[in-house]
Amino acid sequence: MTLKKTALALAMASSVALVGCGGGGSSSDTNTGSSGTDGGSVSARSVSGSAVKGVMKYASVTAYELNDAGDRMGSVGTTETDGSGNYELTLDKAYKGGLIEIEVTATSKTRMICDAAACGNQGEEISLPSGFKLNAIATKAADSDKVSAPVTAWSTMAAKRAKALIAAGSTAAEASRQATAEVNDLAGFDVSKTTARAVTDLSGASAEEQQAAVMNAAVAALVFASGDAADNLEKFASALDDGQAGNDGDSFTVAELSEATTEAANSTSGLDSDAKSALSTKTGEYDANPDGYQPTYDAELDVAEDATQADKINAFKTFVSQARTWATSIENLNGDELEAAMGAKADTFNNVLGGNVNSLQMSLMIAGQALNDALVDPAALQTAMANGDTVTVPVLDAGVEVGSMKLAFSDNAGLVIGISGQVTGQAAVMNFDLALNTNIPTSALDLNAGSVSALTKSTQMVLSGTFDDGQGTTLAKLNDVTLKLELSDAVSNANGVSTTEFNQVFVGASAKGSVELAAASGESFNGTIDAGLIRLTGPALAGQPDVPVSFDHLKVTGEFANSDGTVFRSSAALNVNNSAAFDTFGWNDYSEAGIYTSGPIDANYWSGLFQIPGEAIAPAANLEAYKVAPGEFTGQGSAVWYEADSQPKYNSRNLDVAERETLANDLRDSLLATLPAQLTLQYYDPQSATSQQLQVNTSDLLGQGVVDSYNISNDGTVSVTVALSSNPVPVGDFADVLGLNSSIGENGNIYMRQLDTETPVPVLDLWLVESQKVDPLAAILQNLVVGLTDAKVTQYYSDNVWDSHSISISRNAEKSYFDECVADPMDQLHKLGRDITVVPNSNRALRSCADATLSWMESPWVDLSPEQLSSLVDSARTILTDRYGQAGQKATINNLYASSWSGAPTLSIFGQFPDLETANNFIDASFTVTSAVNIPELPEAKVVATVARNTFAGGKVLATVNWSSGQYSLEVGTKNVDSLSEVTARFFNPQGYELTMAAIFDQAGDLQGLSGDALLNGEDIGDVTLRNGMPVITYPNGSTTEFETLF
Amino acid sequence: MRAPDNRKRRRGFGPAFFFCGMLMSSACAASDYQLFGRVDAQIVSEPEPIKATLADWGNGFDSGERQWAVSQLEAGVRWPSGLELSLFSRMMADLRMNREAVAFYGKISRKEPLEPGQVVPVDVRVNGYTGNGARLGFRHRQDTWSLTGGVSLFSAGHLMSGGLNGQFIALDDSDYDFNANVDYVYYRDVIFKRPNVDEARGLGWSLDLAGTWQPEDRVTVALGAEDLFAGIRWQDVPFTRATANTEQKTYDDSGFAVFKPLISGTEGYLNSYTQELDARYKASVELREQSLSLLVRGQYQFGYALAGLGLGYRTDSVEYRGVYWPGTDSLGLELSTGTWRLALAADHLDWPDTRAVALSVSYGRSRLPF
Repeated sequence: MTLKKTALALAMASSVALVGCGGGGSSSDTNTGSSGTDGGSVSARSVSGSAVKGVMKYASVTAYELNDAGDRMGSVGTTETDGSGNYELTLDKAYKGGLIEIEVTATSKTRMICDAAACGNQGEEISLPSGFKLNAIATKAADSDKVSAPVTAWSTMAAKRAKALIAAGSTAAEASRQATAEVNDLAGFDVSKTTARAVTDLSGASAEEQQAAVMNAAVAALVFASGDAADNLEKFASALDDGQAGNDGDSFTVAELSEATTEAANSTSGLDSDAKSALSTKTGEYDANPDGYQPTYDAELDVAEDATQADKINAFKTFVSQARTWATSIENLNGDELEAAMGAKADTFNNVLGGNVNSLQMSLMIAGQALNDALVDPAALQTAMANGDTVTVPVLDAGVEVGSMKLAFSDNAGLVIGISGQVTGQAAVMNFDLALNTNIPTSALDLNAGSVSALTKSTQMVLSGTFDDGQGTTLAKLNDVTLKLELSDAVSNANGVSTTEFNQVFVGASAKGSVELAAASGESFNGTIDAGLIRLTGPALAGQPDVPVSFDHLKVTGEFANSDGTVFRSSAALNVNNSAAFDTFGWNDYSEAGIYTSGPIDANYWSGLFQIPGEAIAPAANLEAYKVAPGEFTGQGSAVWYEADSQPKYNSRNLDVAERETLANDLRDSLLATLPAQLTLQYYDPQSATSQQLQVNTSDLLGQGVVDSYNISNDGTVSVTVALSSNPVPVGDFADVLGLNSSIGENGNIYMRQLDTETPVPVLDLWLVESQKVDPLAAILQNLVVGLTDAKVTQYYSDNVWDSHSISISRNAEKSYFDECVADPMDQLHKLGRDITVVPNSNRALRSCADATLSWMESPWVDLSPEQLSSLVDSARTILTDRYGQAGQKATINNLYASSWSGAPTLSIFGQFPDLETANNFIDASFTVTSAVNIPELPEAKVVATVARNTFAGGKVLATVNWSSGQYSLEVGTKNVDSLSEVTARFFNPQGYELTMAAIFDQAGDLQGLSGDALLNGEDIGDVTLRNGMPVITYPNGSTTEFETLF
Repeated sequence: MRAPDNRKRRRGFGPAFFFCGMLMSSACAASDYQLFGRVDAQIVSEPEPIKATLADWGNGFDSGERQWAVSQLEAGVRWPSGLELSLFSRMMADLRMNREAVAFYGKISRKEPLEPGQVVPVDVRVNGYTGNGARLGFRHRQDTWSLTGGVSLFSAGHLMSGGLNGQFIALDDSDYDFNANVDYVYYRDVIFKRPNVDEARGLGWSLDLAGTWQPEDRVTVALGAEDLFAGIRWQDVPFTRATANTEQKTYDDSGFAVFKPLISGTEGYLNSYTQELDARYKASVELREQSLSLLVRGQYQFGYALAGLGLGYRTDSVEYRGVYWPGTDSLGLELSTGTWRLALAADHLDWPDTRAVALSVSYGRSRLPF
């Protein structure tokens, strides 16, 4: 099979593979060397970590001690990173115990392992420009002689921000803490503690380490994109100097940071669902702050390095109190308040995304059809391109024509198609004017096979244009929506790239770009879409798809406007974390879906069930089976066939316009010739209560009338109805006469009906005696069945109101007529008014001819035996298993229908697929929604919520609320959503405060157990317990214990 | 499983065997010494019936301001010289609340409409302990009077002492604010449910004095005082100091604020703590006229004075008395024969309605029952 529509469908949603260059730092516990202190005591003190912006090998590392003003007092140690980017530095005697700034500088022998597309190929070692350096400010804990200091671009940003804060008046220690907290907020992980790992080596990494690796890689896309990397790094690290990153004057926008993060995450393998959820949440936060991300910092929660336990406890109590306020504020909102708080109306989402996203889909569909049409008839394409012609083709929606479009083709380093036209949707007309620019070489279009003969590694199509409602209102505007098809290698085949060849190199596909959508009801959306497909490497859930592809992600980000003009910003992202391993499309299409399919069945499926005469023609059997209980079926069957029993056989044939007009005139003329020249009509005059007579010329009476019907009854009587033209007879004096009767003697009777509601024109009814009067008319009608041996027209019926015009054909059921039909089915069936599309010698021709010429017979219905039922079910199971694999094997069969009526014996199957997920193979996905909320207690709040399903029956919800003066995150998880017996929860903020809880509930939902910890910068300062059903945090503090109820 | 260090302390049968042995031996008592003993118990609950307070404390609060329970089991011997030596087991629980707080708490417990703007101070004090010890006493008799005094030493447990001070503020008819400070020591943290509490042990002391005087044949005056200059010195005492407030509130389906204050505090152990015990006083005046008598009784304990008025009737071997106590609306009945005395008092015959009940059985003692 050559590649045509499959590739095109994929090409409509291509993926961008962006490789990030990043890394992180790692700490070393090794305690080597010793140095004296100025106080005279001797202890071994060292600084360790790793330098990662991409792993920096053999870079120079220097530690400086800072004074309270943040100035370097001098070097307190130097060393060099090893081949893994790690370093360990012994502080020398000059160190006095203050803050330490570590600086990692690239030298001529320094090599960075690139893991971003922006800096080269993954794993490639590159040299770094002069001046490329990373920094970190670290603190030596009072009870430790070691300093852990990952040195990354993010730590460099923190160091720069700290110096900016010092310049603004903070002490060095305060500034360092605040800067670290702010960068933690911006980056989404603890930049001062999280071990930095290379994004290409995440084996055994924690979720936070994975997140850090991706965020470091994201920086690469910004730093190595263009220009001098050292200068770019310097600008990146300075972005937060003013307390806000990605705003005016910075080297990157928040949108660029979001995109870089998304792409780094999408291109990094080995991320677990926790890391992916956290990254999705973080990008959601970026999306909510397009004009600049301002990290929050709560000075009230600041805890100095030398803080006492009481200080820490008090600070943590403040954290708990704030979190309690936060939770209560949200908990107290009812539905209306919540909607008001979000500033969003449900209708806006529905109308904008539910309505006009269809026009977005429609535009992709139209573009796909345009491209398909171009490839299906490449010769016409070539001609059109050469002549500058346009081609008009229908727009099809599910096979139904919904409009037309003009295609204009050109070659501009690839196929370019201008697409304009109109579609009529369910309720409205939409005009479209689109341009599809591709990099598909026109030479790759096979003129003979109508297929693609070559595809590059990255096939790209850019779709732009508008949809409008025909009245000047733009419903959808696509701004360079880029569709990419990613292959592992270019592929070509002079005979057309086959599906097999394509499958071997298929990597993924994606669609990305900005769109503007407007609903007729006034709502609008202006933002970006990003959708991606990925190669399916895991097993298909139901049968083998043509192309192994799985859904990977979909993201919509932008600004929504309500119909009242109020605006809110929101984003939604759906990410499948195991998209390559899990067959998402198979799951979507088949899991718990209904089955209607059919397949071949043994021709002996009804053997012995029925007694059929030997002369039977075209015998067939219909067997039906129904499930009455799991695994238990009942059913019946019946045989049908045809016989040449010489009984009358009627067929009906519709007449076309020309036939019926000719026929009507001929019949009228014949009737005029048959009837007397004058007719005496009798009528009853109610005024005089006497019978009256009226002489009428027959020609006047019939005038230009049309014979509407002709029928020969069994006794030979012919009845004819003639529809008259207006005022054919002088009946004006008899306007109140209901009818006129005329005996036409032995010719029969005639009756004229006047206009009434049922007869819009005057009608003549004539009853003629066939032996004397029918012959002329019969001869005319008989001309319609010339070629049908012995056939006779027994009825003609014409109804202009219903536009129904047909004749009835009669002859006996004889084998010779059947044979005559089989010999020329197209002609014979046409004359008999049957399906004329049959193929000669086909089962359909045979059965149509039998049905048109012979008598239909049916046996009595019989009950099917258990063995026959079992045989049917087994056959169905075989068909399902062959077609759908394990899904078919486990599918529920509800009804079966076996028949050979249409030719080869076929078994139709109705049933349902099971839930195709298992505990070991389920869709691991997260859904992130971002929105601003208006809550008085939380000014300028923005909420990002991620729902992640990472276990078969459970998952997590991560909600982050960021407002003008604080940020809190709540993560709640359970292993089983249906039975919430165990729930874990985590409150945390970027300043190192974290409250973890594990709750156990009984079946009634009552809290039975609670445990957890109060963590401050990783230090366990308290425990969460349950006291008599009351959640309590206890904080040991010397000989006493502080405690507080949680809520 | 209850942790070993948190197991409930229960009295064994040892003291009971001792007391019974002492009393049984009275059947063959030698004439040169005299045995005596008593069992006294009194429970008073003003805010709600005793049964209700045992089942769901506070839910039936309507008025009143005191709840107390006191009991003592004592057996000893008295020599002709007047010297007395006895062993005893005693317990005391004293809970005092201000009346307005009781009424308000009852309202919110029953979700009754509140009076907006109402400010209700809350003052709750608790004092309690159990003790086992010995008493050394001396009784001196003259023709018309007698005087008895004694000193007791005992080992104490089940410490409960401290208080809660704060206020309710009714915001509207279904919402209120509450804030309070709690400071108390305990053997078991009944408020905050502190786990794994090591119970403190204490050494207690007390003095008692009692006297009778018969100024003329028809008149008898009796006075008694217990727990004079009494106190208990505790070691390693569990304590909690906390504040409670309703800054975070929840509401039930009807919109009524749920009483579930946020609490923050400190808990630990005090090296030592001295619990002061309030003295208890009793008095009786009895006027006889042949076989009839008129009684006037009074008692003062836990900061609360009670007075009773009664009648008596005496046969050759048995004396009957009935006393009505208006303060607790109780009626007491006493039966005396020889040196035995049985007394029972209650405010209701139906247990679900009973708020005050007392029982006293004594042998060889002249002390007033209650």
